[in-house]
Amino acid sequence: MADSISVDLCARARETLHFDVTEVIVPGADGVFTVRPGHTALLSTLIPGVVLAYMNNSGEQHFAVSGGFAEVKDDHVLILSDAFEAGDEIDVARAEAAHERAESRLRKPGEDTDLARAEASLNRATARLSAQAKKYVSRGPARNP
Amino acid sequence: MASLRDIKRRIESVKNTQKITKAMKMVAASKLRRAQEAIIRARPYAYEMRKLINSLVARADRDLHPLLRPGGGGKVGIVVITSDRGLCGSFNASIVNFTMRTLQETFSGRDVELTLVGRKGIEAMKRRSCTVRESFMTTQFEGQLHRGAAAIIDDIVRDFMQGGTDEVYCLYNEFKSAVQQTVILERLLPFEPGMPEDEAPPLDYLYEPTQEEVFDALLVKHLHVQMHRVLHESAASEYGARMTAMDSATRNAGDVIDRLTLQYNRARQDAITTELIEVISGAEAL
Repeated sequence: MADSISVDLCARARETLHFDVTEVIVPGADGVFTVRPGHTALLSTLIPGVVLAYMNNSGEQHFAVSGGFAEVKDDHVLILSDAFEAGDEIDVARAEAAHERAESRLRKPGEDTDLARAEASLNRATARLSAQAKKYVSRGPARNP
Repeated sequence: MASLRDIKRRIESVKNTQKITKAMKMVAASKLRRAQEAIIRARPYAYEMRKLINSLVARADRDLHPLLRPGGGGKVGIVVITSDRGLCGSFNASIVNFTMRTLQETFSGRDVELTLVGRKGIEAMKRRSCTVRESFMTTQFEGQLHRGAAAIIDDIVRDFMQGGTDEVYCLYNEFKSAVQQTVILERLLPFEPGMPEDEAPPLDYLYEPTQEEVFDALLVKHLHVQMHRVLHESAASEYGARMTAMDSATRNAGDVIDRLTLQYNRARQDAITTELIEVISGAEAL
């Protein structure tokens, strides 16, 4: 069994990021899960959240993902997400503005407010803010009853 | 023979047209470059997604998900992608012609419903007797092609799930290079079990939350991503076609200007000669 796993982060409009980790934590729709070498094959949907990667030799890195899918197979994790951002490249002001906007939309929904969309955008903004702050916030399953 | 002033005026007018076509060519060229970059960035995502879907669908049971088997409505759906704006050579004409040919040959005798994207396609189909299910303008996407792709796909999937269509295809210009675009007919639904890339034995995934939910989300997402790629391909093709068309228009305008200038010079020479003859014969008469 290998002692590291390779991760591919793939998004709609940017280059695929490839790196090796000893452990990676992924925000699955059914709850956050950790992948270590030797993990069983898994296919999960993701919710907006933070991917925390423990790099082989360069510490840990946080990524905000906007949801999507994760495939775990043969010590390889493929994360397909519409968008991802590394914690360091997130523009805090913009993320905060998006957070604010989504929150006020949810507080005072107008006639034509798309609640699902506002909530999704709130979740994405939260994910980006926590990835930027290098916090790992486990929010558990984000499913409406 | 046209008078000197007429010719001069025509030269000026052709020059103005040439300026416009030249500007349009430049604009198309710079947009093409951006569209090309967008395609290159969009491809890995679409490719990884397709790989995952292929390996999944090849192993999956067809009864697992409604999107994996024919819808059962007996109808065929085709998404035809054109552009909103003209002046791009045969870009739109070739799509429209291909559509008509497909309707007559591949799907002759079948009930076909079109989903039209782009004003040019909508206008062209209005003049022909086709059943149009839904039309979209590319400008209404406002540069957010993924929103547009989602709108198109959601509409198609809804219809498919309700048993409206048996199968759905997509017809678009695939971007080969700035001077070459090919019209492509691609099947969207139901999913074809392509060959998985690796010949590994069937793999049983653990599905989270459940297999149904993963399939639901993944299949629709895959369609979104493919349609997003297709819209990008079409946009890049449009700019490529416009660039080529405007380039040859500029060159043609140059030819016309050369010809008119020659005509103008001849006329001027003529006028001078006539005047000279008049002066000389006038002097001789004295």
